[in-house]
Amino acid sequence: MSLTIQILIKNNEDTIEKCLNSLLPLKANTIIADIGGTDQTATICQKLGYKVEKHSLNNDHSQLRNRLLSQSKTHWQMYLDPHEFLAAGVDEIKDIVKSDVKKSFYIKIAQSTIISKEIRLWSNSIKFINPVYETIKDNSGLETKKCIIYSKQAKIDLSHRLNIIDNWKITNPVSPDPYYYQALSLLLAGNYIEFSALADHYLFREKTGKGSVMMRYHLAMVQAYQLDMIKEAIENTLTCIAHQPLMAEFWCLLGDIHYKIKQYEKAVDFYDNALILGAQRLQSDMWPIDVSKYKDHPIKMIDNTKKIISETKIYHPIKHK
Amino acid sequence: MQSIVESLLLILEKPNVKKGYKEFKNYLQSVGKIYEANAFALLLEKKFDEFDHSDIDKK
Repeated sequence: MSLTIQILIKNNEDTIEKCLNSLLPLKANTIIADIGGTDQTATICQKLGYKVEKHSLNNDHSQLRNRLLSQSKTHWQMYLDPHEFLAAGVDEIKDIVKSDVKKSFYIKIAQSTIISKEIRLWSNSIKFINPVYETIKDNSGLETKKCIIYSKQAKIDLSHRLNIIDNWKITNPVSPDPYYYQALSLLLAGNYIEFSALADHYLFREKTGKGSVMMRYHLAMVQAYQLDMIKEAIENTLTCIAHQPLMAEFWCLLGDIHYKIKQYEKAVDFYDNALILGAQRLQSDMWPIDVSKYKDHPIKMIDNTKKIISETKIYHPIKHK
Repeated sequence: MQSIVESLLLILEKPNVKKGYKEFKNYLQSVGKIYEANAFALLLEKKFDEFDHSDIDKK
Protein backbone atom coordinates (compact mmCIF):
# COMPACT_ATOMS: atom_id res chain seq x y z
CA MET A 1 0.00 0.00 0.00
CA SER A 2 1.83 3.12 -1.17
CA LEU A 3 -1.04 5.63 -1.24
CA THR A 4 -2.74 7.52 1.59
CA ILE A 5 -6.00 9.36 0.98
CA GLN A 6 -7.15 11.96 3.47
CA ILE A 7 -10.74 13.10 3.89
CA LEU A 8 -12.07 15.75 6.27
CA ILE A 9 -15.68 15.08 7.26
CA LYS A 10 -18.32 17.30 8.82
CA ASN A 11 -22.01 16.54 8.34
CA ASN A 12 -21.71 14.68 5.04
CA GLU A 13 -23.99 11.72 5.75
CA ASP A 14 -25.67 11.99 2.31
CA THR A 15 -22.48 11.66 0.28
CA ILE A 16 -19.77 9.95 2.34
CA GLU A 17 -20.65 6.34 1.46
CA LYS A 18 -20.42 7.00 -2.28
CA CYS A 19 -17.14 8.83 -1.74
CA LEU A 20 -15.55 5.97 0.21
CA ASN A 21 -16.91 3.23 -2.08
CA SER A 22 -15.39 4.96 -5.10
CA LEU A 23 -11.96 4.72 -3.47
CA LEU A 24 -12.17 1.04 -2.51
CA PRO A 25 -10.52 -0.30 -5.72
CA LEU A 26 -7.42 1.78 -4.96
CA LYS A 27 -6.82 -0.28 -1.80
CA ALA A 28 -5.26 2.79 -0.20
CA ASN A 29 -4.68 3.74 3.40
CA THR A 30 -7.48 6.18 4.30
CA ILE A 31 -7.28 8.83 7.01
CA ILE A 32 -10.70 10.20 7.93
CA ALA A 33 -10.69 13.26 10.18
CA ASP A 34 -13.95 14.36 11.79
CA ILE A 35 -13.79 18.15 12.25
CA GLY A 36 -16.88 18.58 14.36
CA GLY A 37 -19.82 16.94 12.64
CA THR A 38 -23.10 16.36 14.43
CA ASP A 39 -24.83 13.93 12.04
CA GLN A 40 -24.28 10.24 11.18
CA THR A 41 -21.23 10.69 8.90
CA ALA A 42 -18.68 9.28 11.35
CA THR A 43 -20.98 6.34 12.20
CA ILE A 44 -21.40 5.50 8.50
CA CYS A 45 -17.60 5.52 8.06
CA GLN A 46 -17.15 3.24 11.06
CA LYS A 47 -19.86 0.84 9.81
CA LEU A 48 -17.96 0.61 6.52
CA GLY A 49 -14.86 -0.40 8.48
CA TYR A 50 -12.95 2.88 8.62
CA LYS A 51 -11.30 4.40 11.65
CA VAL A 52 -12.42 8.00 12.29
CA GLU A 53 -10.13 10.43 14.11
CA LYS A 54 -11.49 13.53 15.83
CA HIS A 55 -9.58 16.71 15.09
CA SER A 56 -10.06 20.36 15.86
CA LEU A 57 -9.70 22.76 12.98
CA ASN A 58 -8.25 25.81 14.78
CA ASN A 59 -9.44 28.02 11.92
CA ASP A 60 -6.94 26.57 9.48
CA HIS A 61 -7.79 23.72 7.10
CA SER A 62 -4.29 23.56 5.62
CA GLN A 63 -2.65 23.26 9.02
CA LEU A 64 -4.82 20.25 9.83
CA ARG A 65 -4.31 18.67 6.41
CA ASN A 66 -0.54 19.12 6.69
CA ARG A 67 -0.67 17.47 10.12
CA LEU A 68 -2.45 14.51 8.49
CA LEU A 69 0.22 14.47 5.75
CA SER A 70 2.91 14.13 8.41
CA GLN A 71 1.03 11.08 9.79
CA SER A 72 1.11 9.38 6.40
CA LYS A 73 3.63 6.57 5.97
CA THR A 74 3.22 6.18 2.21
CA HIS A 75 5.08 7.66 -0.77
CA TRP A 76 1.93 8.91 -2.55
CA GLN A 77 -0.73 11.25 -1.14
CA MET A 78 -4.22 12.04 -2.34
CA TYR A 79 -7.21 13.92 -0.95
CA LEU A 80 -10.89 14.00 -1.65
CA ASP A 81 -13.70 15.99 -0.12
CA PRO A 82 -16.62 14.02 1.31
CA HIS A 83 -19.05 15.44 -1.26
CA GLU A 84 -16.87 14.09 -4.09
CA PHE A 85 -16.29 10.66 -5.58
CA LEU A 86 -13.75 9.18 -7.96
CA ALA A 87 -15.71 8.55 -11.15
CA ALA A 88 -12.94 7.32 -13.44
CA GLY A 89 -9.23 6.62 -13.57
CA VAL A 90 -8.65 3.92 -10.93
CA ASP A 91 -6.22 2.00 -13.17
CA GLU A 92 -4.33 5.16 -14.08
CA ILE A 93 -3.90 6.07 -10.42
CA LYS A 94 -2.76 2.51 -9.63
CA ASP A 95 -0.15 2.74 -12.42
CA ILE A 96 1.12 6.11 -11.18
CA VAL A 97 1.32 4.91 -7.60
CA LYS A 98 3.46 1.93 -8.63
CA SER A 99 6.27 4.33 -9.57
CA ASP A 100 8.38 6.00 -6.92
CA VAL A 101 9.07 9.27 -8.77
CA LYS A 102 8.57 12.63 -7.05
CA LYS A 103 5.77 14.24 -9.03
CA SER A 104 2.33 15.71 -8.66
CA PHE A 105 -0.71 15.15 -10.85
CA TYR A 106 -3.73 17.22 -11.79
CA ILE A 107 -7.09 15.45 -11.74
CA LYS A 108 -10.19 16.82 -13.47
CA ILE A 109 -12.91 17.91 -11.05
CA ALA A 110 -16.38 17.94 -12.58
CA GLN A 111 -19.15 19.94 -10.93
CA SER A 112 -22.35 20.28 -12.93
CA THR A 113 -21.13 21.36 -16.40
CA ILE A 114 -17.87 22.90 -15.15
CA ILE A 115 -14.60 21.01 -15.24
CA SER A 116 -11.55 22.35 -13.44
CA LYS A 117 -8.18 20.78 -12.71
CA GLU A 118 -6.57 20.46 -9.30
CA ILE A 119 -3.54 18.66 -7.97
CA ARG A 120 -4.99 15.77 -6.00
CA LEU A 121 -2.26 13.13 -6.28
CA TRP A 122 1.36 13.82 -5.37
CA SER A 123 4.51 12.21 -4.07
CA ASN A 124 6.77 15.18 -3.46
CA SER A 125 6.96 17.08 -0.22
CA ILE A 126 4.44 19.77 -1.21
CA LYS A 127 2.18 21.03 1.57
CA PHE A 128 -1.30 22.49 1.56
CA ILE A 129 -1.67 26.26 1.39
CA ASN A 130 -4.56 28.61 2.37
CA PRO A 131 -6.40 28.33 5.69
CA VAL A 132 -9.66 27.89 3.76
CA TYR A 133 -10.18 26.61 0.19
CA GLU A 134 -6.98 24.71 0.91
CA THR A 135 -5.07 23.53 -2.11
CA ILE A 136 -1.85 21.96 -3.36
CA LYS A 137 0.14 24.14 -5.75
CA ASP A 138 2.83 22.87 -8.09
CA ASN A 139 3.47 24.58 -11.41
CA SER A 140 5.30 21.51 -12.69
CA GLY A 141 2.33 19.19 -12.06
CA LEU A 142 1.45 16.66 -14.77
CA GLU A 143 -2.01 15.90 -16.09
CA THR A 144 -3.75 12.59 -15.59
CA LYS A 145 -5.52 11.40 -18.75
CA LYS A 146 -8.55 9.46 -17.50
CA CYS A 147 -9.10 10.49 -13.89
CA ILE A 148 -12.28 12.37 -13.05
CA ILE A 149 -13.58 13.34 -9.63
CA TYR A 150 -17.26 14.28 -9.52
CA SER A 151 -18.20 16.92 -6.98
CA LYS A 152 -21.62 17.80 -5.62
CA GLN A 153 -22.18 21.40 -4.53
CA ALA A 154 -21.07 21.47 -0.89
CA LYS A 155 -23.15 23.14 1.80
CA ILE A 156 -21.53 26.45 2.68
CA ASP A 157 -20.98 27.48 6.27
CA LEU A 158 -20.53 31.13 5.28
CA SER A 159 -19.91 32.62 8.73
CA HIS A 160 -17.30 29.94 9.49
CA ARG A 161 -15.48 30.63 6.22
CA LEU A 162 -15.61 34.40 6.63
CA ASN A 163 -14.31 34.08 10.17
CA ILE A 164 -11.26 32.14 8.95
CA ILE A 165 -10.72 34.64 6.13
CA ASP A 166 -10.83 37.59 8.57
CA ASN A 167 -8.03 35.97 10.58
CA TRP A 168 -6.15 35.29 7.34
CA LYS A 169 -6.26 38.98 6.44
CA ILE A 170 -4.73 39.87 9.80
CA THR A 171 -1.91 37.33 9.52
CA ASN A 172 -1.25 38.07 5.84
CA PRO A 173 -2.18 41.73 5.24
CA VAL A 174 -0.35 42.15 1.92
CA SER A 175 -1.82 39.18 0.06
CA PRO A 176 -4.87 39.69 -2.19
CA ASP A 177 -5.78 35.98 -1.80
CA PRO A 178 -8.06 36.37 1.26
CA TYR A 179 -10.09 38.95 -0.67
CA TYR A 180 -10.40 36.55 -3.60
CA TYR A 181 -11.77 33.76 -1.43
CA GLN A 182 -13.95 36.12 0.59
CA ALA A 183 -15.53 37.38 -2.64
CA LEU A 184 -16.05 33.82 -3.89
CA SER A 185 -17.70 32.82 -0.60
CA LEU A 186 -20.10 35.77 -0.85
CA LEU A 187 -20.88 34.87 -4.46
CA LEU A 188 -21.63 31.24 -3.54
CA ALA A 189 -23.89 32.47 -0.74
CA GLY A 190 -25.74 34.77 -3.14
CA ASN A 191 -24.68 38.05 -1.48
CA TYR A 192 -24.30 39.84 -4.81
CA ILE A 193 -23.95 43.46 -3.67
CA GLU A 194 -21.22 42.61 -1.16
CA PHE A 195 -19.57 40.33 -3.71
CA SER A 196 -19.53 43.10 -6.30
CA ALA A 197 -17.85 45.58 -3.94
CA LEU A 198 -15.25 43.06 -2.82
CA ALA A 199 -14.55 41.87 -6.38
CA ASP A 200 -13.86 45.49 -7.38
CA HIS A 201 -11.49 45.80 -4.43
CA TYR A 202 -9.71 42.57 -5.37
CA LEU A 203 -9.40 43.63 -9.02
CA PHE A 204 -7.94 46.97 -7.93
CA ARG A 205 -5.22 45.05 -6.05
CA GLU A 206 -4.72 42.20 -8.53
CA LYS A 207 -4.76 43.43 -12.11
CA THR A 208 -3.41 40.45 -14.04
CA GLY A 209 -3.32 36.68 -13.80
CA LYS A 210 -5.84 33.87 -13.91
CA GLY A 211 -7.44 34.86 -10.60
CA SER A 212 -8.20 38.37 -11.79
CA VAL A 213 -9.67 37.17 -15.12
CA MET A 214 -11.95 34.63 -13.41
CA MET A 215 -12.99 37.18 -10.78
CA ARG A 216 -13.81 39.67 -13.53
CA TYR A 217 -15.88 37.02 -15.33
CA HIS A 218 -17.87 36.30 -12.16
CA LEU A 219 -18.29 40.03 -11.59
CA ALA A 220 -19.53 40.53 -15.17
CA MET A 221 -22.10 37.75 -14.68
CA VAL A 222 -23.36 39.30 -11.46
CA GLN A 223 -23.49 42.76 -13.06
CA ALA A 224 -25.40 41.39 -16.06
CA TYR A 225 -27.86 39.01 -14.38
CA GLN A 226 -28.27 40.39 -10.86
CA LEU A 227 -27.43 44.09 -10.79
CA ASP A 228 -28.51 45.27 -14.23
CA MET A 229 -25.17 47.04 -14.78
CA ILE A 230 -25.01 46.26 -18.49
CA LYS A 231 -22.27 48.70 -19.56
CA GLU A 232 -19.95 47.53 -16.79
CA ALA A 233 -20.74 43.89 -17.54
CA ILE A 234 -19.84 44.32 -21.22
CA GLU A 235 -16.58 46.10 -20.36
CA ASN A 236 -15.57 43.41 -17.91
CA THR A 237 -16.42 40.63 -20.35
CA LEU A 238 -14.34 42.30 -23.06
CA THR A 239 -11.40 42.53 -20.66
CA CYS A 240 -11.73 38.78 -20.13
CA ILE A 241 -11.84 38.22 -23.91
CA ALA A 242 -8.74 40.37 -24.37
CA HIS A 243 -6.91 37.98 -21.99
CA GLN A 244 -8.39 34.67 -23.14
CA PRO A 245 -10.11 35.13 -26.51
CA LEU A 246 -10.73 31.42 -27.06
CA MET A 247 -12.86 30.86 -23.96
CA ALA A 248 -16.40 30.24 -25.17
CA GLU A 249 -17.68 31.13 -21.68
CA PHE A 250 -16.79 34.78 -22.28
CA TRP A 251 -18.36 34.96 -25.75
CA CYS A 252 -21.52 33.28 -24.45
CA LEU A 253 -21.76 35.85 -21.67
CA LEU A 254 -21.39 38.63 -24.23
CA GLY A 255 -24.12 36.92 -26.25
CA ASP A 256 -26.36 36.58 -23.17
CA ILE A 257 -25.92 40.26 -22.31
CA HIS A 258 -26.85 41.37 -25.84
CA TYR A 259 -29.77 38.94 -25.84
CA LYS A 260 -30.93 40.52 -22.59
CA ILE A 261 -30.80 44.03 -24.04
CA LYS A 262 -32.54 42.73 -27.19
CA GLN A 263 -29.62 43.33 -29.55
CA TYR A 264 -30.32 39.97 -31.13
CA GLU A 265 -28.12 40.14 -34.20
CA LYS A 266 -25.06 40.94 -32.12
CA ALA A 267 -26.03 38.17 -29.71
CA VAL A 268 -26.07 35.61 -32.56
CA ASP A 269 -22.70 36.91 -33.70
CA PHE A 270 -21.18 36.34 -30.25
CA TYR A 271 -22.73 32.88 -29.76
CA ASP A 272 -21.31 32.03 -33.15
CA ASN A 273 -17.87 33.11 -31.91
CA ALA A 274 -18.29 30.85 -28.89
CA LEU A 275 -18.70 27.91 -31.25
CA ILE A 276 -15.93 28.83 -33.69
CA LEU A 277 -13.30 30.11 -31.25
CA GLY A 278 -14.21 27.71 -28.44
CA ALA A 279 -13.48 24.79 -30.76
CA GLN A 280 -9.93 26.15 -31.14
CA ARG A 281 -9.22 26.28 -27.42
CA LEU A 282 -6.43 24.03 -26.19
CA GLN A 283 -7.93 21.43 -23.88
CA SER A 284 -4.61 21.11 -22.08
CA ASP A 285 -4.74 24.61 -20.61
CA MET A 286 -5.27 25.00 -16.89
CA TRP A 287 -8.36 27.23 -17.06
CA PRO A 288 -11.70 25.84 -15.89
CA ILE A 289 -14.06 24.88 -18.69
CA ASP A 290 -17.85 25.11 -18.70
CA VAL A 291 -18.59 22.45 -21.30
CA SER A 292 -22.18 23.65 -21.87
CA LYS A 293 -20.83 26.95 -23.26
CA TYR A 294 -18.89 25.21 -26.05
CA LYS A 295 -21.91 23.63 -27.76
CA ASP A 296 -25.31 23.26 -26.08
CA HIS A 297 -25.82 26.81 -24.80
CA PRO A 298 -24.71 28.76 -27.91
CA ILE A 299 -26.58 26.38 -30.28
CA LYS A 300 -29.79 26.68 -28.23
CA MET A 301 -29.44 30.46 -27.97
CA ILE A 302 -28.66 30.94 -31.68
CA ASP A 303 -31.81 28.97 -32.43
CA ASN A 304 -33.95 31.01 -30.00
CA THR A 305 -32.50 34.30 -31.13
CA LYS A 306 -32.92 33.58 -34.84
CA LYS A 307 -36.58 32.73 -34.20
CA ILE A 308 -37.05 36.07 -32.45
CA ILE A 309 -35.30 37.91 -35.31
CA SER A 310 -37.45 36.20 -37.96
CA GLU A 311 -40.67 36.83 -36.00
CA THR A 312 -39.73 40.50 -35.65
CA LYS A 313 -39.14 40.69 -39.39
CA ILE A 314 -42.53 39.08 -40.13
CA TYR A 315 -44.51 41.34 -37.84
CA HIS A 316 -42.56 44.57 -38.39
CA PRO A 317 -41.40 44.44 -42.01
CA ILE A 318 -41.16 48.23 -42.38
CA LYS A 319 -38.39 48.44 -39.77
CA HIS A 320 -36.11 46.34 -41.90
CA LYS A 321 -36.57 48.07 -45.22
CA MET B 1 -4.87 46.28 -21.30
CA GLN B 2 -7.49 48.97 -20.91
CA SER B 3 -6.74 50.41 -24.36
CA ILE B 4 -7.52 47.14 -26.14
CA VAL B 5 -10.74 46.79 -24.17
CA GLU B 6 -11.73 50.32 -25.15
CA SER B 7 -10.94 49.58 -28.78
CA LEU B 8 -12.76 46.22 -28.58
CA LEU B 9 -15.77 48.06 -27.23
CA LEU B 10 -15.61 50.51 -30.12
CA ILE B 11 -15.14 47.67 -32.59
CA LEU B 12 -18.23 45.90 -31.32
CA GLU B 13 -20.26 49.06 -31.50
CA LYS B 14 -19.24 49.62 -35.12
CA PRO B 15 -21.45 48.23 -37.86
CA ASN B 16 -18.40 46.75 -39.60
CA VAL B 17 -17.79 43.79 -37.28
CA LYS B 18 -15.47 42.14 -39.80
CA LYS B 19 -13.06 45.06 -39.60
CA GLY B 20 -13.21 44.85 -35.82
CA TYR B 21 -12.31 41.17 -35.72
CA LYS B 22 -9.47 41.80 -38.13
CA GLU B 23 -8.12 44.55 -35.88
CA PHE B 24 -8.38 42.26 -32.88
CA LYS B 25 -6.58 39.49 -34.77
CA ASN B 26 -3.77 41.96 -35.55
CA TYR B 27 -3.65 42.98 -31.89
CA LEU B 28 -3.31 39.35 -30.78
CA GLN B 29 -0.54 38.87 -33.29
CA SER B 30 1.27 41.98 -32.11
CA VAL B 31 1.30 40.78 -28.50
CA GLY B 32 2.62 37.37 -29.54
CA LYS B 33 -0.57 35.40 -29.11
CA ILE B 34 -0.06 33.64 -32.43
CA TYR B 35 -2.20 30.61 -31.62
CA GLU B 36 -5.14 32.88 -30.73
CA ALA B 37 -4.49 35.11 -33.78
CA ASN B 38 -4.69 31.99 -35.97
CA ALA B 39 -8.02 31.11 -34.35
CA PHE B 40 -9.30 34.59 -35.22
CA ALA B 41 -8.04 34.16 -38.78
CA LEU B 42 -10.14 30.99 -38.93
CA LEU B 43 -13.10 32.91 -37.52
CA LEU B 44 -12.73 35.54 -40.25
CA GLU B 45 -12.54 32.77 -42.82
CA LYS B 46 -15.65 31.00 -41.55
CA LYS B 47 -17.77 34.09 -40.98
CA PHE B 48 -16.72 36.38 -43.79
CA ASP B 49 -14.97 34.19 -46.37
CA GLU B 50 -11.84 36.09 -45.41
CA PHE B 51 -8.76 34.10 -46.39
CA ASP B 52 -6.07 36.70 -45.86
CA HIS B 53 -4.10 35.38 -42.90
CA SER B 54 -0.86 34.59 -44.68
CA ASP B 55 0.85 37.14 -42.45
CA ILE B 56 0.31 34.82 -39.47
CA ASP B 57 1.29 31.62 -41.23
CA LYS B 58 4.67 33.09 -42.15
CA LYS B 59 5.58 33.43 -38.45
